[in-house]
Amino acid sequence: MTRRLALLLLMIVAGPAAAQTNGSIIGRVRQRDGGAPVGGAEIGLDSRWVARTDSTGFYRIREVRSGWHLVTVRAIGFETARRDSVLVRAGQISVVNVVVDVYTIDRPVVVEAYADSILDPTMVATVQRIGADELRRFPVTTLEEAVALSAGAVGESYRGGRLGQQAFVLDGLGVKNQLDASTGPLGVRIPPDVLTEAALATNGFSARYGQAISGLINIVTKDGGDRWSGRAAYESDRLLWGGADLGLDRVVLSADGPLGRGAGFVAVLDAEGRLDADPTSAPPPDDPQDPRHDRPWMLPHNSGERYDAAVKLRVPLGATHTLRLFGLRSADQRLLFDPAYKYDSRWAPARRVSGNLLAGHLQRATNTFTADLRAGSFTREFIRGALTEQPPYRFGAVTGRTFEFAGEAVARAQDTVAAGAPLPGMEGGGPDWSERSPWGVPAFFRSLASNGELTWNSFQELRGQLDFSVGGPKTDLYFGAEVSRQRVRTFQRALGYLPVGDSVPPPAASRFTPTSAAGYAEGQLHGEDFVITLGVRYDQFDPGSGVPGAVVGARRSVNPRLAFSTVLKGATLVASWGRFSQAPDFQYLVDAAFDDTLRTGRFRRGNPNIGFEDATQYEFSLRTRPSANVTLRVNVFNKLLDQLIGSIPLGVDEDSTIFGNFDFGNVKGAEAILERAFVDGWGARVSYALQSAQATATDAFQLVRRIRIGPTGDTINPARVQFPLDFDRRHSLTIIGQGRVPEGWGPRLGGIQPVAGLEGATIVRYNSGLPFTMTNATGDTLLGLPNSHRLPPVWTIDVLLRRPLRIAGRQGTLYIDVRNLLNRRNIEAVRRDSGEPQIDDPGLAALAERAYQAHPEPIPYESPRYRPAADVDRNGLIEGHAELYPLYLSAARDYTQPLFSYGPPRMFRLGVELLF
Amino acid sequence: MKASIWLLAALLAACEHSTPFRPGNHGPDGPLNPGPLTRLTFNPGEDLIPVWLPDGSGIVYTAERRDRADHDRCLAFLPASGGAISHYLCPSTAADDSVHIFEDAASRIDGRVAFVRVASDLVVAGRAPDTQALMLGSADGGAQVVVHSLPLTTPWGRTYDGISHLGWLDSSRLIIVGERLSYPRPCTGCARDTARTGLEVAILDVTTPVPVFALVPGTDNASSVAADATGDTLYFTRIGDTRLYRNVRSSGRADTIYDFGGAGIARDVAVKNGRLAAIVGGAVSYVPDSVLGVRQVDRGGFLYLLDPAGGGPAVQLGGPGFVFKRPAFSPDGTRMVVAAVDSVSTTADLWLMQLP
Repeated sequence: MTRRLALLLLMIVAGPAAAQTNGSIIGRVRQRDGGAPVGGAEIGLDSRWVARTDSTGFYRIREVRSGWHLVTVRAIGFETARRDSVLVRAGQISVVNVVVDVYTIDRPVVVEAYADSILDPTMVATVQRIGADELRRFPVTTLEEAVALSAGAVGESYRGGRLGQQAFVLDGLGVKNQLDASTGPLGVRIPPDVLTEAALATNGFSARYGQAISGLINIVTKDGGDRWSGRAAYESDRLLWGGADLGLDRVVLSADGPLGRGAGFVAVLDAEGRLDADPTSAPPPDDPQDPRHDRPWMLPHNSGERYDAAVKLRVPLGATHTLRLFGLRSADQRLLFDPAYKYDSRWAPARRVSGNLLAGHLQRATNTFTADLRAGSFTREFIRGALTEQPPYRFGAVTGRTFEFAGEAVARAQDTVAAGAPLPGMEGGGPDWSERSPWGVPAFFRSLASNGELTWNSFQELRGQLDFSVGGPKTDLYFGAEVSRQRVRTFQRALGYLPVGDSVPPPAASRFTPTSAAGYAEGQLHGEDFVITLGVRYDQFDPGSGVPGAVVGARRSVNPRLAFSTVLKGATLVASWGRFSQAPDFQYLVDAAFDDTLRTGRFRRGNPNIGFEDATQYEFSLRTRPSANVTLRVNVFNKLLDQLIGSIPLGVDEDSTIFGNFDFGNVKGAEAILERAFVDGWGARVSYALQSAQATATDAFQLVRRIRIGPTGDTINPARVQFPLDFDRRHSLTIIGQGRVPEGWGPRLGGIQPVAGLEGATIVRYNSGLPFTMTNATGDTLLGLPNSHRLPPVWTIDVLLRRPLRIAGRQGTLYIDVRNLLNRRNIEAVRRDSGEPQIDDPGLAALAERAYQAHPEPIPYESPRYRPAADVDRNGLIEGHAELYPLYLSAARDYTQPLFSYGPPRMFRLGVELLF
Repeated sequence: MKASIWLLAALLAACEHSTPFRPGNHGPDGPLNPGPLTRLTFNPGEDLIPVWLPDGSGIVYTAERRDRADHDRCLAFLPASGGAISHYLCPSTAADDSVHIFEDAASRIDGRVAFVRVASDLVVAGRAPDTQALMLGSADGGAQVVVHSLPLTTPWGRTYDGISHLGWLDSSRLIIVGERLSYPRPCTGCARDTARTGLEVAILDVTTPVPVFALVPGTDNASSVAADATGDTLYFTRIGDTRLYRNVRSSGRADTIYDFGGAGIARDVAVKNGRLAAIVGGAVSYVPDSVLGVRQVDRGGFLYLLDPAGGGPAVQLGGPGFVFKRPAFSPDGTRMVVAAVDSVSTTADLWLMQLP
């Protein structure tokens, strides 16, 4: 215990390690005999001598990049000591103590090294991290899936926040889709193989970082090791059948190693195709005529392919400078299943999202002063519409070609004049009712042409960051600034098969160039048994010229952050308070014309005058280590949201609104994380989150609703009422277990030991239901407040088993990854009118009757719509309500199948991996 | 173990994935009641002007789309033995404020289809169609081009308000009947009707950028025309005339090959392998009008089959209570498709008959 207290004191005086890409190493060098400190000993990190011990034998190496390092200690007259597997994680202190002896031949030195972020009082951020080794061991495929294992995460929503209230920091460089983060993907994906570690910070993160009010995903990439290594893996479900074969193929190739003269290189290619990229466990329909009845598992025109390639080069420039260059390209293209085009999927929509990230990082690092100059270019392009032709599959779902969209050239050129005519590729006319459904009737199902929608946008950002870190043996100061300039272009056209006219709205296009800037300073004060961290960040953004409607100036926001941490008996208590802000999605600056809003005459007017969205968060965090291998973290937080973007009425037309900063909310909750380190062949982590997230709006695109409250029947504006946010998950429990069978253990069968070296990991998730809104049958009146009803809870069990093997003289593994092992049919959404995934019988009958009344005409024998079984009197005509209505009813039942109300089914990945 | 791993990897890559469900075929694939006289269509609207595809695999005709608000008339492609329409040549449904008529199709062996396209605005309806044109399209729904707009004036000065009885003489030339159109009201307050008066037979070369017209001499007042397989011998009828005429273009010989006499006015001639068919008598009237000129109003008649080489009398086909229009022989001459109105129908449907 005495030693532990001493170590704690060591850490207290060690100063902060708040920088998100780097950690630090501290320790003491003592003589074996008597424990006397060794002063003046040189401390080496990897291939450089970077520090010396003071008179107490204490040393500290600052700004050590996350990853594995070699620490060397030498002093005249003493044995040289080396520790070659010191793991440093971002924002964390690793302790390397060294016991040396006078130089002799037969007396070994003693080195002990460990990191303890649990009891480290300088760790004020609420961070949950996952390392590259865990990403490989766990049944997760993407970085997003890994981060979603964190307590308080609901998919990509963190602590009740909306999508887009988080930001990525890649090797210290901020990356965010500032155009439409709340409704669209980032555009680039980080291949897991390029990672050293990823961490989710939900509070108390450094003032260095902004652009987020609910979470920060910090990613540290590999630097290229001192020897070449790599991995080639192929995984698929080809060997399986029926619902187990969802058309998956994935290839991962990665390599990293030295290029000489200290340079390092990393390259990763991660490509995946799946014939059903969004599989659902929806039950098969009862009607045997429905093609899903016999083959319910895979949806047509729902395939996807994605390609992620990353390259990194590290070049040392002299003793103190390092240049890092990073390039990432992602492309994701999807065919989108649309129930309306179930029987003529050639006309269903498709989507492509692509992104490029180029980053450069020049670092000057000494043990007392570090300067980082970062520059990055991030481009993202999104397009959704109809394809000019269906791409042929070459291998599985892989087409190997870039999708071509009808009217894409017009959209890219933002040519609103040319777009006044029918878009190229859509001149043939609009959709007609499909004749290929089993029901034949002219209703619900579409054919002959797409719905004429074309949406395109482009986001480009150039960013520069300059960060400084100054520190002595007991102090640290961080400060810096960043500036970024974005270029935003958008284009939308509806009913593209018709010329713009009375009933066809004109195309909407915008082009503007916002600029953003920020500056920050942060430091820590150390007492005997406490640490105070104080930081402040200044943000501003200027929408720039070109925003339709107005010329506006810069918006400004000052965000102080404060944390106090102290060491109690066997525990560390952190109290933090911080204000966070993020610029709004730029999509809210321009008029919105999404989905059917163009056609219904309703619209949301863009508002160039909107400002930052804000959050103020209070948090108490208690971290303790009940035993050497077991840790417990408990966080209690209260987050106040303000200036959230919402829609407010515009004029007297209650269907038309304008975006504005007027919504507010509150997220409060508690998180508990109990973890047993992976030692002695097993490890486990249990995390539980309890939270309540409420606000006056859940989605900026929602029209303002007038809500009838109470028996008096008062009608009030919902902006005065808080109701649960869309991601208000009250209870979430995640249990992760992992284990490994020792080598040489287990029975021998046929000359091999099948379970020897077997690794396994399982993830059990239990989440209470998300809220949803109920309406009456016609959908025009809310039943209760928005989001006042709850979906049923969801739970899944995922398993990954990995068996090491020798393949062609190389180390390799064979693995099977099973998601939703028990094939649990989780309900993820319901209809607002019924509260169930399915439409209710009266609703179905009404839908069918309306469709019949729209087309009561008889269907003659020669018509492709004629269905012999429906012609009861065999007169060659399906006519009248008695013969036609059953077809309309079946068609309505088919069309309203709640496919995407259910979560994914059981999914398999069989993989072969070769390590070299 | 090594071998098994490589085998597994090979299997992983070699196995085919399952495929998603596909829509099935749900329509009928044969006639409702097969027999020597088979009803092919049951459309509550009009089914008119059938012709065979050159390979005998199907029938193209003009079908009134009662499932559309504007009742467009489209070219429908029907399997030769009946069943479900495989596809339509049709205007987009987006323009529901106008009616479009695709009619008088003539199908070529390469899949090209010549037809007449007529369009009228439903909201501001004029007396005559807004647009008419001779079109060339493809049976698979590909692009359509206007060969010549209508009305047209021939190089010899005759104006055709409309054309009908299109047929391919070869891969480049169409035979047509040039017509004068009038739009009389049958009664006070009734909707206007379209009255067609045949003027003459002409040949049209559509391979040149500007179609080249050639008059077939001696075909004045022609109301219908059909060419034999060589394209050299033409058979035609005249308005108000009971006779069937023949014109051999290479020799310039013209003669009368049959006179239906008291059976009535002959029209809608068809020919195949030397056998002829024509519609005779029935609900047809020949009306001299001092204002609109002579016109022949035809609501169907009786179907006759004759073999000029055999010299026998014409044989009437079809049961009692039927009136027919526009017969068409199958390419092998064994079957005939014809538009007919039976005793219980009010609109024309297609019937298929096996020929004796």
